[in-house]
Amino acid sequence: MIFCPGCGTANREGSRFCNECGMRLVQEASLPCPRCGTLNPPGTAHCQKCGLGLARAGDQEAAQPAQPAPAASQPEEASDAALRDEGLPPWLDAAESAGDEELRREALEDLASLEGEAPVDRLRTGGWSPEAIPIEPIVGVPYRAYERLPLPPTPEQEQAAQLFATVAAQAVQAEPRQVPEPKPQVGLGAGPRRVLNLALLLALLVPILWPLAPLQVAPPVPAAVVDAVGAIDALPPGVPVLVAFDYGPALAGDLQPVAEAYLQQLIGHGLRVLAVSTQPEGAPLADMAIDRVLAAHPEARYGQSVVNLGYVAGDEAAVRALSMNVPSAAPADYRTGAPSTTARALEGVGGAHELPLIVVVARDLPALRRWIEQTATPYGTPLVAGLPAAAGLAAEPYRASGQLRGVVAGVAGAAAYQGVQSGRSQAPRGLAALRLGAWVLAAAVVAANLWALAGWVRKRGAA
Amino acid sequence: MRRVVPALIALVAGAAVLLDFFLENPLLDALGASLLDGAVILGACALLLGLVNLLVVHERRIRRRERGWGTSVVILAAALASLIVGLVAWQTPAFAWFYRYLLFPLEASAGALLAFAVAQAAVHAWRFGRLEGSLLLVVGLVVLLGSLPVGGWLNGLAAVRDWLVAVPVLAAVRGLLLGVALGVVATGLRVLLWMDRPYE
Repeated sequence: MIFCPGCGTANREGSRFCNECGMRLVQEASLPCPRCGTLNPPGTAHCQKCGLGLARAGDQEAAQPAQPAPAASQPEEASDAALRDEGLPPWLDAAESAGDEELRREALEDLASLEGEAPVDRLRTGGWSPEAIPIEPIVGVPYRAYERLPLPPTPEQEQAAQLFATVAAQAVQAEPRQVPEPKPQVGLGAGPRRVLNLALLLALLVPILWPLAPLQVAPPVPAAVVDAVGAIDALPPGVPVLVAFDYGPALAGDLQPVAEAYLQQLIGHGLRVLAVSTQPEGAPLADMAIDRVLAAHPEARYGQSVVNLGYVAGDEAAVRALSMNVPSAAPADYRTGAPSTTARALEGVGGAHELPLIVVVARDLPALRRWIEQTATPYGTPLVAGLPAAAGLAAEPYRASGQLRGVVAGVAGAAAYQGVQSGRSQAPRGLAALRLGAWVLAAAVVAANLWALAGWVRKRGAA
Repeated sequence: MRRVVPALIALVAGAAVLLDFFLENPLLDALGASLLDGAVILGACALLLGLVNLLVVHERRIRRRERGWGTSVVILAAALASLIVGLVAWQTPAFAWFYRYLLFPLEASAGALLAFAVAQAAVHAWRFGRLEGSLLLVVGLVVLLGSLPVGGWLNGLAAVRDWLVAVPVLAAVRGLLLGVALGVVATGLRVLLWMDRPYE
């Protein structure tokens, strides 16, 4: 094998050019390495492949008479003998430079002067004795890189070099890069936020713990509430009414009073209540409301006056299924597990659209809209609704068009409803807390705007 | 075939229920009723699927010790406990206890926290400056204070609030609802005419 001096690729014996880089392998007066066969350029002192000293190897061949190799009975002795005959090991010889040999000779001479031996006896032809320890540490000898013939640059290297030259030739920008101004803080700062939260918390807690007379004023009665009361009052006793509890515990604070107000009037009027829910969390809420109302109406019985039919899955499909056939859509009593058809409250009930009234207490407008679309609009079934205070406004178009007979919105609506029903004006403590909280919020909004206005006036004055 | 079969099922089911809504036909009534029963069952299955997915996601988080895995342990323990109690003893006071003293207060507390977030958003958004912001500020204050009057000059605010609700708010909400209704009709038609395939 011939090893290319440029890239080191092994080429077949007799190759004239390297198969990898194309370099000419056979050069006139090139020095072949006796160990590995690499063709070295003329004048090279050490083989570029294995590091064998080419001049020393030549000297060794020339000066040392042919000596028969000692018969090595063991492989270790044979390898040691081979090492001695060939001179320095490649790794050591590669690390040595011309100056190193001179240093070593001087060091040995110094040693010999101390021990009385001639330094030349310590040196064998080839320059290495297995007994001698080099004075200078191997690690202190600088590593000499192999001489490498320059290769033509590849197209990618030329491209990169051109790009570098272009970038380096560009003038340095004297002006600094423009740093954009930091954006103003969005929202309230931490301090104002804490103050607002604390004020709101106190405003909601204080009226509940200590009744404040100025806040205990009954709310005005909206027309929508009066219509809802009237729609229930117009029903004869004993007819079934479906009540949908389509909300969860998150809105129970706003809607549970509404649901209980409806239940109080329905059961108080002797109507049969069929409680159902198209929300998973609605059925237990219905149970809680029924328990409270039954406690206030001992003459009413569960199963006769009121039954909880539980959760019906499917959103619009559930409402449609209830609209077509209530016992089929809600086959079991939520509280007892018995078939719903065994409940006396469900006697003679078919589809929800045949009922004289449906009461929907919904968490938002889309939940209410399902009932309007599936029952009130196609069949004209009377519908009254209960909604959170925030969603009450959104139901006004349906009330204006007659699809909803009445709407009770939030705690204030429930208080007004109970006031109309009982003939007494009353305001629960929760309503007083809502009032004070609303005033605190309004005051915070006004204060924030005044602060912003003062800042604007200051800026204009400074400008 | 993989795309045609689901589309055919959606078309037939949707058309059957739609026709049942408009026409009085015993065959259509029966078909519509059974399809609706199937939809109710599918809705319940979707709930179950959501529960299984929740358990799998949090189990993976615990197994890999990802960030927040301690919270996942609590979630899994609570979900499994309520699931077991609900399956074994759903009519006993134990399940009612779970609901009344765990779920109800937790959800109510989470809902109550929204009040503070909404208050901060209102203070930030109701700013006097541009025309829209100023209008929002004035109307917001009138509706807020007019909804819960205590007498005196605040009753006048209540009258203004009633007018606002009866005229501009009603008009705007009506427009929104019409737009939503038209969108729902358009989406339904697109599904029935195979222009949209949300089930793929």
